[in-house]
Amino acid sequence: MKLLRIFMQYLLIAVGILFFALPIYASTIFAFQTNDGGYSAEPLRIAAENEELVLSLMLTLKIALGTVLLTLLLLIPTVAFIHLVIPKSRGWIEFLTLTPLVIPPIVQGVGYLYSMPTQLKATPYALIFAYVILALPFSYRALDAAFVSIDVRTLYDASTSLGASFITITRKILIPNVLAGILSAVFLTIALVLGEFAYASLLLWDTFPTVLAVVGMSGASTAVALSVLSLIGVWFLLTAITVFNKPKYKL
Amino acid sequence: MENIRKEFGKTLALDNFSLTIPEGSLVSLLGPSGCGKTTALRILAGLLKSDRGRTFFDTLDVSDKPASQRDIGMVFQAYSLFPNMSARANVEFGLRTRKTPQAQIKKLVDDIFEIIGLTEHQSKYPFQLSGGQQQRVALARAIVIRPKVLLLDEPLSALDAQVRTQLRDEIRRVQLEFGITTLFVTHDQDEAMTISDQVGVMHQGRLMQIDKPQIVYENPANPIVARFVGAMNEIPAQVGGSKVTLFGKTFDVSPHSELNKGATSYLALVRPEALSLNTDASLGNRAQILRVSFMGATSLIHVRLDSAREISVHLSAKSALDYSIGQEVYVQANGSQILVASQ
Repeated sequence: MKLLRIFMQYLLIAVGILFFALPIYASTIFAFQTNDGGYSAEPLRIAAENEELVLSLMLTLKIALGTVLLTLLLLIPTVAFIHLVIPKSRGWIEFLTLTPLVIPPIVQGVGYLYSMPTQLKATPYALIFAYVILALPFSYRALDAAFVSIDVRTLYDASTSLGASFITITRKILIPNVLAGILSAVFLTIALVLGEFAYASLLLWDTFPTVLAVVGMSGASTAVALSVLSLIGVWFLLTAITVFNKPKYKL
Repeated sequence: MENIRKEFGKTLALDNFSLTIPEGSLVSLLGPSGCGKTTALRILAGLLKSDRGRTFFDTLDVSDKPASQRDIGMVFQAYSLFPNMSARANVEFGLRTRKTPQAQIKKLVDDIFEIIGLTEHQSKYPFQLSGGQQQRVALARAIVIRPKVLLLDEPLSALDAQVRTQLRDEIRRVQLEFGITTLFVTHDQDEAMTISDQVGVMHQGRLMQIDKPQIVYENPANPIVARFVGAMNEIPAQVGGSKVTLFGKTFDVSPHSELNKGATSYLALVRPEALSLNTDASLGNRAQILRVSFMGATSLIHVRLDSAREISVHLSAKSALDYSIGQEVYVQANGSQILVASQ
């Protein structure tokens, strides 16, 4: 009975791995295999020579950086405030942050387009505001979980009783103790921006995912190769979360 | 603290609360959960704002100052060491925020670790320390800055019994050594009674009595204090004017009694040590011994009166040897005054 249970556990793990690995394996073969059965990095060379693709990648990375900075600037004080001042509202606020997941991107995008000031419509960086909202379900929860893991109220009271200002408390106590949550929020936000298509397409901006879609129409292997690479990039970021999640102290 | 009032929504946490802590003394606020003692401490710390009333450190009105500017040290019920800092860095934190010179920081921190006996643990992180060690470091962190007032918010309640007793004595030793004016909040009367210069008993947001521990115990200001501090028997008694009759003897009614107008039945509040047992039927009321609890130098004898009410009598362990379970005995009260409450 015990053996059967262990077998089932491993079987489930194996099925799970196959579920994720097979499409990636198939994509890799499709992208990099040549007609004679060998492998070539030709699709990546073509991608590197495609100026539009490189520019869109640079733009997307800049948008990702802006999204991360704005998210942290808004969310760290907000989550700290929620935990310190209105902890009973956490349930409601968490529910609100989940709304971007349930409202279809097309609805959000159109609403966003109508409500955006005209001056902002002229710059692709306006996407930053949309992406901050879109990333909320992930970034908020990552930070909220980090704040839950420490006794914010007691740590705040202890440091303020020792004469520390709010800035000192934030810099030396709060941020170091929720660093794992901050990093999770950062990497999840970057991952989201690197793959977001609906908003950028709707607002007619050439970000990496939209250009990739166009490239895919003329050279499928190049698009698939880049998709695999970006997937590996995101995996790398998620692995980094795990590594950074192990500080020398425990909470 | 003068005439402090604090409400949380419809709950009145503190009502006309005034408290003076003499310089260099340790005053405890004792009371059940929700009586307002922690609210009083947090208002004194500046972590809460009162709705009314003023707070003074000596003659300086600190009512509008935030906690960070009040020059206090505080130890909390929950473990409050900063998890990202070593024990030493935790203790240095308050000195650094005060921009104390480095050489002075080193000396003060070295000294305080020696005083609390954790010199060899100072490079450890909080998760590497036991609960008792963490609270000792928290105490060191609070007093190393030489605060005007040390505030202790049930710092022992998360610890096991043995560590609690050790740390309790250590708190008193360090408090006396540094002469720091200290407010200690607890619901544990043993803690309050053993280390305090004065004990304040709180009930429903009001300070019922504040005095030396012995006076609070022996001469409670009212039945609420009497019932909360120490063991207390509640025995139906006859009251007539200023006299109360208990177990066939007449006593003066204590001036701290609570005799509601129109009340028809009364309870005599008598400490177990104010009762005695004997085998002479002419002395006291008949009772039967139910249990004997041996407590070291003394024993607590639990008896059932003929009225079926159970009470306890404190005897020396040696005297208790004269009695056995099931034995018929006679109970009588001693003293001249008895505290009475309307039933």
